Amino acid sequence: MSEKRLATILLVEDEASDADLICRGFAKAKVVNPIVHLRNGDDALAYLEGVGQYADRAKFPLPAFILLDLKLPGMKGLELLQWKRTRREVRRIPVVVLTSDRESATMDAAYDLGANSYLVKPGTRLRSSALWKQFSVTGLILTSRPSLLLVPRLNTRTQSQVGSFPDAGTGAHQTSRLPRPCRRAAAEKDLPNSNTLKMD
Amino acid sequence: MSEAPVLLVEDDPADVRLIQRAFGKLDKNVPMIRLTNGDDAVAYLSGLAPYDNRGAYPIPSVVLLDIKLPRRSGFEVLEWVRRQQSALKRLPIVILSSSRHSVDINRAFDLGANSYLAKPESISQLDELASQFQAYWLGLNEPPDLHGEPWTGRPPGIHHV
Amino acid sequence: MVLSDRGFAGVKSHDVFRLMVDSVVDYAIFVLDPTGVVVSWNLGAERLKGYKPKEIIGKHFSIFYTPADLANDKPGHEIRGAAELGRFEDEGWRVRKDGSRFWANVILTRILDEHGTLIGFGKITRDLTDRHQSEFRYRLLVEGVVDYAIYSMDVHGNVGSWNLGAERMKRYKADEIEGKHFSIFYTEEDRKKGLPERILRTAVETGHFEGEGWRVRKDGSRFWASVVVTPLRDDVGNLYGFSKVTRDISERKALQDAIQQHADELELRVQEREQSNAELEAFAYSVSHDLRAPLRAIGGFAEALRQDYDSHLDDGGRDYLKEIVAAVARMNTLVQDLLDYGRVSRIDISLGPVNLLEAVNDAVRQLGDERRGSLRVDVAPDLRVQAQQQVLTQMIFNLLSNAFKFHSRNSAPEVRLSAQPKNGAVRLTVRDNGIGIAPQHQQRIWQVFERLHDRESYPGTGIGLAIVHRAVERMQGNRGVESEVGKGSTFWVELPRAPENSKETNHE
Repeated sequence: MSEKRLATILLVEDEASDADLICRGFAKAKVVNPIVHLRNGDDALAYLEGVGQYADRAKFPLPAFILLDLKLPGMKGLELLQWKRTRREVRRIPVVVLTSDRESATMDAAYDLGANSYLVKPGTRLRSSALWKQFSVTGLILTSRPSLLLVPRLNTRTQSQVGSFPDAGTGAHQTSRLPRPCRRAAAEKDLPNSNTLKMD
Repeated sequence: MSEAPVLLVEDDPADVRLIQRAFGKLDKNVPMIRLTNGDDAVAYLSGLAPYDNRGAYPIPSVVLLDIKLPRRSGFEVLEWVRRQQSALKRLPIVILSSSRHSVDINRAFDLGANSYLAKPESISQLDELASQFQAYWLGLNEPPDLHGEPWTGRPPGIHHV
Repeated sequence: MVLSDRGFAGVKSHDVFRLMVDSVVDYAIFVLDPTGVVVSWNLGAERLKGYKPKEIIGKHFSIFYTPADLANDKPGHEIRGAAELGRFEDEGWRVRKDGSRFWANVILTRILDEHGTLIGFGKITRDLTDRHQSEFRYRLLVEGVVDYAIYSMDVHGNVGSWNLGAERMKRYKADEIEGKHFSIFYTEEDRKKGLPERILRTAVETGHFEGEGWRVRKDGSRFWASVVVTPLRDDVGNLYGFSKVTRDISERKALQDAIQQHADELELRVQEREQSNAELEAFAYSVSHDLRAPLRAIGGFAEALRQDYDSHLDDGGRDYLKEIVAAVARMNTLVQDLLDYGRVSRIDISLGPVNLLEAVNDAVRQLGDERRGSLRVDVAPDLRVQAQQQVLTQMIFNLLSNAFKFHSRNSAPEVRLSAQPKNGAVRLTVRDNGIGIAPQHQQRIWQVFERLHDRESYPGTGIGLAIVHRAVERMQGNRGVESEVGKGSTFWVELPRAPENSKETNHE
C-alpha cells in the first residue's frame, strides 16, 4: 500500500484571470489536491522558506509541486528558481514553469536553473478550457486516480490539508499576502474531518 | 511536435516490448530508439562509435530511463548528463521505473530528473501512460535547446539580484 | 616519692609503697633490670599473668609477648624506647602463663639512680580486655554479624578482636589470626606495593579509609571486598588501634560484571539486528522488484494477446487469458501484502503521539473503489494515540477494507468507525453489517494466510488481519473481535493514549 498523501500544489501567478483559468482547469480535471495561489515571487519565497505567516507548516505545508509564472512583480520567477536550487529542503520540488515568454534564452535559463518542465501560456485566442483540459491529461497532475507522476517526499512535515485553506472567514485579516484558495468548479466528496460525517 | 526520437533505456525485453507496443498504438507514431544498458546510453549521447552517425542516431528529444540497468545505472546516466558542459545537460529525462520507493523518487529529483513515472501494473494503464507521455513531453512541454551553448550568467532581463 | 609527716599506720616509709604495690590486684606492677629481667612481682601481676613470683623472677620479660611481637623484637624496642624517652606506653596483646592472651595497656618507665644511671624499669600493666571488650561492646553484636568481617587491630596493624563474620569470610579462626598482621589478607602484589601500610596511614591522616579490592582467604582463594578502616582513639586523642569492617562483595561484582557483559552483548545484538534489518529491507526490495518483473510480462502479454489477437480467439481462449491476468493481479497483491507484513514486523517502530483522525483520513483516502457503501466516522479531532503513523494507517486501512469486503450479497455495506478514550487508552472500533464470523474461527483469522472463504466468494490474501495483529502487537496494544454469523462484526483495537502536550509525530 503506497503512500498517497494529498499534497499541496503551489501556483505562483500574478495575473488573476490566468490563475482563475488554471483553477478551473484543475477542477475540470477532478484534481482534489489543495492549491495555494500566491501572486508574487517574494511571497513564494517566504512560503517555501516557511517564514513569517507561513511558518505554520500545518496550515501552509510544503507543496508537492510548483506552477511558476516567470513574469512576476518583485522577485522574478528565474530568481526564485535560482534561490530554490540553493535550499536543501525545497530544491527537490518539481517546478513547471508557466509563461507567455517563448524566448529561447529564457527557456534555456529556466531549464538550467532546474525547471522540470516549461509550458507556454496560450495566446488570448486560445484562452479556452481546451488547453487546460489538455493539462489534465498530462499525467503531471495528481488526480483522484492513481497518479503517474510520483512526487518526491519532502523531509519536513507536510501535514496535508483536506478541504479549503484558511480564508478571510476565519478572522484572519485580508491582506495581499494571504494565499488565496482556488475556487473549485465541482463539489468534491469531502473526507471526514470532524465527528459524524455521513458519506456515500 | 518534435521529430527527434525518444530514447528508451530499458533492459528487460518484456518491458521493452510492452512499452513499444503501447507507443505503437498511438495515433501519431513516436520514433523510438532503444538501448539496453547505461554505458550504451552514455556512448549514444556522447556520439561515440557506433553512435557517431548523428543521421542514424540523432540526439533524442527526451529520454525514458529505467533505474535498474546493467553496467551503469539509470541514476549514473542521469548524473552524467547533468554534469555535461554542453547544452546536452538540459536533455529532458523521465525516469520510468518499477520502483515506487521514495528513496528512488527523491534521488531522481535530486539528481535532476524532469519527472518520474512508475511502471504501471496493467497494460491498459501502460497505454494511458504512453498517450499522456506523448501529449505532455512531446507536445505541451517546450523543449530546451540541446544544440547551443549552455546558458551561464545572470538570468536574462534581471539587472540586479 | 614523699610521705606525709604523720606517716602511714606506723609503717616504715619505704614499706608503704611496697604494701600498696603488693595490695593492688588490678594492675601488674613490677620492676625489670636494665636488660629486662623481672626483678619484682606483685599480686596484680600474678593475677594478670598467672605466674607466681618464684616462677617469673629472674626470667626475661619478653616471655609475656606474643611470638609475632618477639619476631619484631618488641620487648627490646620498648626497653630502648623507655630508656631514651623516659617512658614507653603501649597497648597490645600479652601472653599469660597458660598461653592465653589478654589485651594490655603497658607503661614502661625507666628508673635512674641519683647519678642518672639507668638501673632498671618499672612496668605497669593493665588488663584492658574488659575495656577492650566494652569498647568493642558491640563485639557481641558484631559476633552475630556474619555478613561483615569486623575486627580490630593495634596501631601496627596486628589483628585484635575477630568476629564470626570475619571467620566465615576469611576462614581464619580467632586464635589463628589474633596478633597476626592484617597484611596477611592482602594479595602478594598489594603487599609488595605497600598497600596495607598506606591504608593505615590514610586512615590516620584523614580519619578513615574506604576502598574496594581483592582480599585473600586462608585457603588462598580471592574475593572482592569493600573495606572501611577507622582509627580508634582514646579520650585524649591518642591512637590506640584501628577497627576494620570488610564486606565480601564478590557476588555484587560478579553481578556487575555480568550486567556489563550483558549490556555489551545487547549492544552487539542491537547492531546485528540493525544490520540484519537493513539487509532484510534490501532483500525485500529486491524480492519485490524481481518478483514483479516476470509478473508484468505474464500479465502484460496475456492482456496484449487478448487485445491484439481478439479475432483469433474464441470465448474459451479469451476466458483463459482472463484467468491469467486475474492470477497475475492476485500475485501482485500477494507480493505487496507480504512486503507489508514483513515491513510491519521489521520496521523500527518508534512510537510517538499520532493524531488518530488524520490516520483514519489517510486510510479512507486509500480505500478508493473498495468503499462502496456507507461509512460513518466518529472520531474526535484531537484524539491522539501513542503509535507509529504509517503502521497505524495501514492497520486502519486493513480493517476498513475488510469491513467493506465481507458484506452479504443482499445488502450494501454499512461501516461505522468510532473511537473512545478508555482509561489511558483509546479503543478504535470498526463495525460492519456484513456476514459475521463464527466463534470457532475468531482466533485463527488473525494468522497469516488464514481465510474463511474461497476466492470466488470473497477475494483476499489472508494477510490483512495478520498485519493488523502484528501492528497492534508492535504498538503495544490489544485487539479483538465480536461477531455473530449473519449479524455483522465489530473489530476493535486498543492503543495507549498519547500523553497530553506532546508534539505530534504524524508524517515522519
